Parts: sequence; C-alpha cells; structure tokens
Amino acid sequence: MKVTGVLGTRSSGTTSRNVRTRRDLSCSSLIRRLGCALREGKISASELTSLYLKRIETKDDTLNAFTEVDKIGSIEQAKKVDARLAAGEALHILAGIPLAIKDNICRQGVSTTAGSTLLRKHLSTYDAEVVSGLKARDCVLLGQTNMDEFGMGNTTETGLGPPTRNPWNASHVPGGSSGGSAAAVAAQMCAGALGSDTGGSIRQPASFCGVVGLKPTYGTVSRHGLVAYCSSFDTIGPIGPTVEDVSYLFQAIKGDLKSMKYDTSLRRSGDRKPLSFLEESQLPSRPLQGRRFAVIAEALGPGVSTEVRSAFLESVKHIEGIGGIVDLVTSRTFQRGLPAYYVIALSEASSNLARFDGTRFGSASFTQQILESYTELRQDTLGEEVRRRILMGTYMLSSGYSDEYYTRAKCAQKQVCDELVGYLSNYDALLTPATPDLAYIVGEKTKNPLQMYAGDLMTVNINLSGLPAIVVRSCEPESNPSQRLPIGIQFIGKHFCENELLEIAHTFETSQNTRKKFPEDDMLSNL
Amino acid sequence: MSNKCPHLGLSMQGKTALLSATVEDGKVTCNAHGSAFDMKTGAPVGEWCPKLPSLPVVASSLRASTLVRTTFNRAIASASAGDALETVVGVEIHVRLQTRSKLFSGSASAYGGEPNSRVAPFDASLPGTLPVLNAGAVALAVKLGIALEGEVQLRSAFDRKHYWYADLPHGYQITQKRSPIVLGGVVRCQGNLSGDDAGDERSTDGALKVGIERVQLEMDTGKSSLAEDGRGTLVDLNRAGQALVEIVSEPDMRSGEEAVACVEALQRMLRYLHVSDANMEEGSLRCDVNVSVRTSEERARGVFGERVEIKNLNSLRSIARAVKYEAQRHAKVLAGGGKIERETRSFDVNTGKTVVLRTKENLLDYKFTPEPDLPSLVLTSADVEAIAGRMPELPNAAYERLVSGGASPSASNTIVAFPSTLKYFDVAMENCGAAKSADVANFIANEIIGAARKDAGATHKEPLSTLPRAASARRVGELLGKVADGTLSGRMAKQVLEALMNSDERALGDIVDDICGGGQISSDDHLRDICHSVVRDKPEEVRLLQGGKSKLMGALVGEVMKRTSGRANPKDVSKLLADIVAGEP
Repeated sequence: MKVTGVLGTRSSGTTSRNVRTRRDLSCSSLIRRLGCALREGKISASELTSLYLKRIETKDDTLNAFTEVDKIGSIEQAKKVDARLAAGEALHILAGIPLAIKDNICRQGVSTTAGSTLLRKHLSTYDAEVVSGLKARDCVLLGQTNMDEFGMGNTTETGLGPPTRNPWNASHVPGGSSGGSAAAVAAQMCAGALGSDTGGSIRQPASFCGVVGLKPTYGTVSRHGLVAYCSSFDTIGPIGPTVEDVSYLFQAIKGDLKSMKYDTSLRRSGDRKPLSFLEESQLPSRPLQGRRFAVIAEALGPGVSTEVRSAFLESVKHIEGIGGIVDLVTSRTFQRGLPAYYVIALSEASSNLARFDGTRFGSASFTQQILESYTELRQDTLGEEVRRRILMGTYMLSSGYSDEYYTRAKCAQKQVCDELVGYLSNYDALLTPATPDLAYIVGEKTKNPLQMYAGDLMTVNINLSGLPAIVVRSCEPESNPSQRLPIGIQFIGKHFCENELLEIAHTFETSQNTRKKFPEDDMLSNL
Repeated sequence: MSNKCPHLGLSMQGKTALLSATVEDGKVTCNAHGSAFDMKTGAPVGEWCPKLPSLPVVASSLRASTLVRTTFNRAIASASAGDALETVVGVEIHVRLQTRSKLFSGSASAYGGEPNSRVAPFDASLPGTLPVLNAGAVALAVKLGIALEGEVQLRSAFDRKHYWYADLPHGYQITQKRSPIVLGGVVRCQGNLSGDDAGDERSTDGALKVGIERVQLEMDTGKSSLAEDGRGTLVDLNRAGQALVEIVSEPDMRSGEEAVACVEALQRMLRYLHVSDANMEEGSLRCDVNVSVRTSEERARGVFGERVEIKNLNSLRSIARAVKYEAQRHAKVLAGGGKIERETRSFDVNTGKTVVLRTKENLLDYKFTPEPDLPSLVLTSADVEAIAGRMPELPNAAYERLVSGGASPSASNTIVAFPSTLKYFDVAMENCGAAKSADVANFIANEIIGAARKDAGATHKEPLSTLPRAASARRVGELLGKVADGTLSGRMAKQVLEALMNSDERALGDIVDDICGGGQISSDDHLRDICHSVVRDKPEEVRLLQGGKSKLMGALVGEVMKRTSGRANPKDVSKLLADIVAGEP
C-alpha cells in the first residue's frame, strides 16, 4: 500500500532555495579541506596530528571516547607523510589524515579489547583488512575508541573504563556500540573514524552525536580482524563529519579481490556508478528531481518520540521541496525484525564468544576441573549484558529450541529482506528515523535491557537484510541549537549501491539548513 | 497416541538419544523439556515444561537437574541362553587429508613438529580471524566420494558443533552436519562375510559390501597431553584445524572382523587416491564403532538393538577386540534381564574391556548451528567431472587385475594393500622377462613385503619405505627373470635377494657370478657329463634303481648337486639321470 504526498506539500523550490543561500562552511568535507591544506603547505601532517592529540588531551578526560591513544606512533606516521609530501609524492587524499578506530578492530601490536576485561591484555598479532586499507593510504591512526563490551549495547557504558559521554551534552550517552568513534568525530578528536554495525552500532551513535555514519552492504567490507559479535550482521563502516568524509573512508576500506583471501563471505560489489559530489554552489535548484523515496509508515508508529517524528517530517518536507517524490509505504514485516534480530544475533554471539575461555586470553586459574575454571573466569570477567546475551543465545541454540527460535528467526529475516528489497525496486531509497528517541541520559537504560533493545527498532531490519544505510543529521525545527541533541535520519539504499546512496545523502545534507556540524567551534576553521 | 510432544512438536521417540521419551507410571514424558502426558488420555500430567535445556557454563549454577528415568525403549527380548544374538556394527572413521595446509588456514598440515609451531591466528582462534576453505581439501573429499560411488553434492554447507575443551580453541568444531559433501556410497571389502550369511542382502557375490551414509569435511582439534611432571595439561595446536573427512557407514557389518575388513578396504582406497596415508598409529585414521546386538526375530522385523558407541580405536586389532567384547557384554546384560543404554564407551587395550565415557544422561548438546563465516560450498558438475576424469586405478580393480593374471588371492591381497607395493609389482613385472605373474606375485608378497613387514614389526606403515635401493623393483624383476629362464634356482634367487636386501649395489650379473658361481647349470653337456660320471661311480645304486627302487633317484640327484656345489637345476638332473639309467644316450 502506498499513499502519495501525504507527508509534505510538494511545493516549488522556494523554501529550499532560501535555505541553500545560508552558507555553512562546516558542511563541506573536512577531509578534503585538510587534504588541500596539507598539500598547500598551510599545515603539516605532524602539526595536524599534534593538534588532534592536544584536543584529545583536553577533551577526552570528560568524554572518555578513547581507550588508547598512540601518540608516538601517530606522530611518527605523520612525519613520514610530511617527508613524502615534501618530496613531491602524489599521495592519497587520506594521507596524513588523523583517524580513530573502534576497539574491536585489530591493529598489529596494539591492544584490541573489544571493550572487554577479558581482552584487556590482548595485543593483536595482525592488522585487520580495513586497517591495512587505511595504512596503505598513509592515514594517521590516533588510537582506539571506546565501545560497549563486544558491541553488545547501544550506550557505550559497558566497555572498559568509564562510560563515553555525548559531546553535545555530557549527561547523555553518545549511543553505541560505536559511541567512542562517533563522540570522537563530533568532539573533533579525529577527522574520521571506523565503527562496526551489527544492529545499528554505527548509525545510532552517529544520530546521537550529529555526525554521519554509513553501514555498508553486508559483504562489501572485509570482517577479517573484526572481533566477532554476530557474524551474519557484523559490518565495519565509517563515521565522519560529512557524507563526503564518510565516502572517502568507505572507498579506502572496501574489500577487493585480494581481501577475499581472508574473508570468503565478501561479495563483489556490482556498483559501477562513479561518485560525483556536487558542491552546494553547484547544486541545481531541485537536486533530487525525479528521485523516488518511500517512508516506512511503521517507523513513525508507537515508541517514536515527538521530537524525532517532527524532525523526520521536516526532513521529508525538505526532500519534497528539492524535487524528491516521497511515498508512504507500510511494512508487514517491520515489527518482526527486532525479535528475529535478537534471536540470530544472540545465538551467534554465544557461539562466537565461546572461544573466550581463559586459556589464551584472560587468566583462568585452572586449579580445578577445566569446565569449572571456564565457568569461574567467564562469570567473573564478562559483563552482565554480555552474560545475559550469551545465556539467551545458548538457550536458543539448545537441542529442541533451535528450530523454535533460530530457524524461525531465519525465516523472518528472509521475509524482512524480501519486503525491503521489493520496495527498493521501485524507490531510490527508503527513509526512517535513525532512532526512536534522542540520546538517553547516562545510566537511563542500563537497568532496563528490553527498553535498550527497543532502541534498535529502526536499524536492525537493515542488518537482517544486509542493505546499506546511511544516517545523516535531519532537518530540525528551529530552536536554540545549544540545548538540543542532534536527531538523525536514515537513508536505506539498494544492495551494493553505496555510491548512489552517498550521493543522495550528500545532496540532502548539502542542501538543507544545517546547524553547526560540531557542538563546539570548528577548531580548524582557519584552514 | 501421537509421537509429537505438543510443546514444541518434537518427536518424543526419535533419532536423538537426548529426546527419547520415557514411560513410567502410565505416563509418557518428553525428555526434551520434561512435559508428561497420560498414556491413556493424552492429557498433560504434572508441571508443564519443568526442564530447561542445558545452559552454557556461565550459567552452570542454573542448570536444571537431569532426571534419571528408564527409557521408553522397544521391548528387547531377553536373550535366552540358546538364542544366538546377531552383532551389528557401524563405523565412523575420521581421516586426516593429505593437504599441504589446514582446512581453514594457511599453516602447514603435517604430523608432528615442535608443539604449537604450525598454528595460524585462525587455528588459535584469535579474535577477528575467519575461516577460509582449502580448495585442495574439497578436491580430496570429492575424489573419495567418487571412489566410494557416493553422490557428490554440488551444494554443501558447514555447521558449528559446540563443546568445551582445552584443545578446541574456538569452542566449536566446524563440520558438515546438515549437508555433507558426499551422501551415500559403498565400500567393497576383500574377503567373505562372517558366519553363514553369504546369502544376505549385503552382498551379491559373497564379498562384503558396506554402505556409506555420508562423508563430511571437518576440522581436527588440537592435542592435549599430561605434563611430564603430571601437574596440568599441555595443549599442542599443531593438529588444530587440520583437514579431516568423517566417513559414516551404515550398520552393515556383523562382526569385528567385518569391521576390520571394511576399515582395511577404506585404508587402501584412501592410499590409492592419495587422499590420506590412513595410518592409524599417527592418527591419520581414527575409528569409532557403533555396536548393537539383536535376536533373529528382531532381525526378521528389520529392527536394531540399542547401540553403544566405542570411541577412538587406534588399531585394527583393537577394533576386532572391542566389537567382540562389547557384543558379549550386551548379550550378558540382556541374558541377565538387563537393558542396553545408549552410551559412549572407550576401549582399554590393556584389559581388553570397554568402559563408560558418557552415559545417555550426559550426552552433550552440541548446539549445532550454521557456520555464518563460510558461504555454502558450491561445486559445478564440471569440477566433479574433472576430478572423476583423473581417478587412479583403485585397489579392487588392481586386485581383479592381479587375480585374473594368475596371481593367488592372498598374494594379490598383500600386493594391493599399498599403492607403493602395487607399483613395485608392476615394475617388477615389466622387467621379469618370461617369469609368470603368479610367481612374481608370490615372491614379492612373501619375500619382499612379508620380510619388510616382519622387520617393521606390527605397524601398518608403507612396508617398502625402508627397502634398500639395491632391491629395487627393476632388479628384483630381473632376478625373477633369471629364475624363469633357468639361470638361477629358487634357492639361488633367495641368496641373491639377501645380498640385495643388504644393499649390495653391484650389477645383478656380478652378484650372481659371485654368489652362485655364474648361476645354475642346466641341461648342457657339462651337466650331462657329471650325471654320467655319477652313474658310473654308483653302479650298485643304479642297479637297484633299475630294479624298481625309485627312491634311489634322490640319492643320485643329491650326488650330482653335491658335485656341482648346488648349482645344478634339480629337475634337469632328474631328467638326465632318468634318461641315462634307462639306457638312452
């Protein structure tokens, strides 16, 4: 079923034209700006890196976005880039750009804890495929960012150390599980970051922190080197200040034929479309003319806060204002996603985490029978949420129960996927809010796991269907920006068509009345 | 009443031991979750679903106590003293594939090595590592499937089988539970069926045919051993992740000897295919057997007795002994009015007895789940045909070739046991001139392979691996050629062989000259002269011989042999003497 034109007036482009005249510098790509500055000699890579390290020093005591900062390594790397730029080498646009990596992505010789006490002393022996991708492009890797233990959570409160805080308002969470990465980008402690998304772990924190987060199609980015939570859904993706920043990072971490050597679940992208981003000044008056969008009606149903709904409707109005055609569609399967997601994710989690038995990581005593030692270690070192999820997952995989739960969830997964893919044959992108609510207050959800799981309502169906989705800041009704928390909108694209999705999101982002990109002044506005 | 428990619709009496419902006090209890139903009315009795499935170790304290109940088994007729029970045996064989690298990682796959020296990050299950399927292992499994006459599946998939042990770093084994790479197949064993069953459905020609249910790819575990000081367990992960196939047979064998015949036939096949060295001592082939017994009445109805699994038998002899012991134990239990419980046992080679490892109540819930890190394994029919087009001669075909060439069944059997021994025979045949293949086969089976086996003790390693170069197939073939053309006697040939075995690498002719003085003297003039002289020198014996005392011929031949230092061909000598004594020239 679809209803046309109910969400906004399909007006002429006057509103949006007015909007676009209000120029906001911070909207154009930070990475491109820094890349130019490095090449023009306005700043050196080592100066840039020092600026970011200093920023981390001053900000991160309160925000706790980083679990580890590699000062020496990143300065060394920046100096190498400086030398090569000085020698006139043509380097990748990401060369010398200071980035942060979520702490569940392995980096050789660096501790990769996945936010767990159990992996506190784990030094990875190899580079994740995505890290190799960044290193090959001479990025500066500043450090590892905080996360919920093993990615199981959406608040970044359950990792190692104190909870990460939302840079827009420190009494709120940044979202999770990639909350450290999103907070680090929003607080300008890095120019971009990698996160991972199993049920929304990139998109929800991007929404909470007012930055851009892309969950690529499952199978386009190698999982080699990503500490597994739910193998069927785990996807590494970029977080950045703008869509363009995110697209640079995405191109750098995308898998190629070589990556198949370590991850055979990779699929070759059919996306042949070249990326072309228009600057704000280059945009035609109705840049989304002819583009078709569908709003999933159930995503505006009960449980969605008023602020989120009105920001979403404002955005839809804007999309219609710049030429997009927006229909309302209903999803039969929308509500099936969340339970199916949790069944599959927790079942696989219980299996993937079986390896953490204390023999190689953690320090089981082994003074008693082996099984008792395992039990003791896991009881003592795994967090409450992780244990809860392992328990539920194991229960659902038990003989006699796996048909009841796992097999049926797989069935629901197929229905969800078929329906979304079906809609995408008629539309360029589907639209939903990124989250049902604004960023929670720290501690608000920890005692109520069911409420916390409900926060994944908007994002899990995308993981079930493997589709790519990007979260950007939505148009928000006018009011005092400093008191507000950001609200995101989610664009869902076709399998392997990230470029098209990025282009649409970029157009949306560039053409709208965006408030400040960062909660504080752009520390590099002089570049 | 329905066999389905209305709780989750599970079969109450199904294949899974864990799920066998129990019957007592007029009610049937679904063993999965403990819901009970009245046998007459079908109404639920007592608490609904009182039992939780087993939970992971983090929750061991929550684990519901497992109730011990008598099982709802089919009635087993207690075996009266005179009623002979039939033994039924099925085998599950794990075979290490001869691949350069492991099943899912690039580290070397070989027996031995410094502990933990062949361990890729994936093998140690380091965080973030993913399995990458070894195409070479797949090709070997396909080859085996074709040789077993099974159906190679163009689409198969991997599953995780979960359990906890120190030498299982992932906490699960990757295997192919739901869709294995090969379904069906048959092992055609050498030798005849046990007992008087030659007419049964297992064979058309009296030779044992064992059905194969499936062949699945899976990864091996590491190895645990007790520390030398006895304090603690050491884990070596060199073996962890090595490529295995598990071959599961139908319950088609009726004795330990038949099980041994089946394993031997498989061993040969694996070696011919270069799929595995199938060496039990080094664990390249490990065997579990399932044993049950049944009465003739049960046999007539086509049902089986409750089976017991005996794990990790590491020699052919152990297989035979364990089956025999276990079948006798079953008979004893049944005769005493007892009942056989589904359980897992191990065989103690020292006592010759089996002991319980896990009882039915403690059977593990492996929580099988699809392996999400691996896509389905998809083959094209062209892939399979390409492998089928490169199949080597298989042992049964080689056996038929040898027997039809005149070799004795037992010598043929010995020769086809290893590809290397067959090759040895074939090369010897190419170089043996006029020698008959029966003689070559006997000589190689007895003098070469038999001797090598004796030297090597009881091992089932390739018997010719330590054969000196001097005793190459070509030289032994030539040696047998010399026997065939009469240059050497059988006794001489053995003397020469002894020299060859002691690494005498001189030209064969030189050795013959040296040891046998140029070889055997056959019916030439020189030998005729010697015979004449013996006849002249022994007139008394010749007279008695002519008078009918034929025994004396032996004495005359012996005298000739003595005068030729044993180099004369005794047959020729007899003939010459006979002619001379008979007065012919």
